[in-house]
Amino acid sequence: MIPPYWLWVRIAPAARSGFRLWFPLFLLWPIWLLLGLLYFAVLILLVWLWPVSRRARAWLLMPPRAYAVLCALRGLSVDVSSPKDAVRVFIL
Amino acid sequence: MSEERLKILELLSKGKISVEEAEKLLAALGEQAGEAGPRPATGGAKPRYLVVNVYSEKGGPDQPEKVNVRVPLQVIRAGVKLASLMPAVAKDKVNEALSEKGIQLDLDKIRPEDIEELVSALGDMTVDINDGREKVRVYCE
Repeated sequence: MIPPYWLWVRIAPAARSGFRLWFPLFLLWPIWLLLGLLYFAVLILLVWLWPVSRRARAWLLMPPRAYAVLCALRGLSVDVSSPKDAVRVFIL
Repeated sequence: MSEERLKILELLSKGKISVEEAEKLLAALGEQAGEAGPRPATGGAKPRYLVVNVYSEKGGPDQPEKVNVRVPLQVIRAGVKLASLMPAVAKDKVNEALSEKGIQLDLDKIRPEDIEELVSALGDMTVDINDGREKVRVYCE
């Protein structure tokens, strides 16, 4: 699973070229990796120390599943245009 | 990240290719990688995106409003798995809210195991609504 690497946003008011923003999400990858490693360290420690209840299991599974949703967002495109404004968001 | 992907992103950041072109190239690369690996048993091409197009002329024919949204179907798969972790109390509240809107849906009955069947069924679905001034089209591609 590869997380998104670019977030592209274009906002253009009527009769103007507007502006484009590139958000290099891949710069956040090291932070996500660090958080992931931290999560696994805590997970191993918790599972080793206490028996995992059903409720705790749901909480423990939530970060990897939320990460899966984040990875799945690659390819999302939203394009809204009216005579006044145009907004486009693209996740690559 | 592969060298080809990096090259495409580099061209994109320099403005030599558009976002659409970059997306097509990246999709082609993904397909090539997929061809190298094992193919799914179904054989047919699976839909990858849910597309919603709305075209409205409410403000007049010279002032059309357009909405194009393309959501990867993978988000549905991942979302259902995430929703399965929802506490029972929250699920009940969601079910109640849906019921108030006339949608009889029980979140407990949507299981991650059944989602592949749902996604493949979505591939055959097309919703086309046209009342003259507004057009809505929902389909998978």
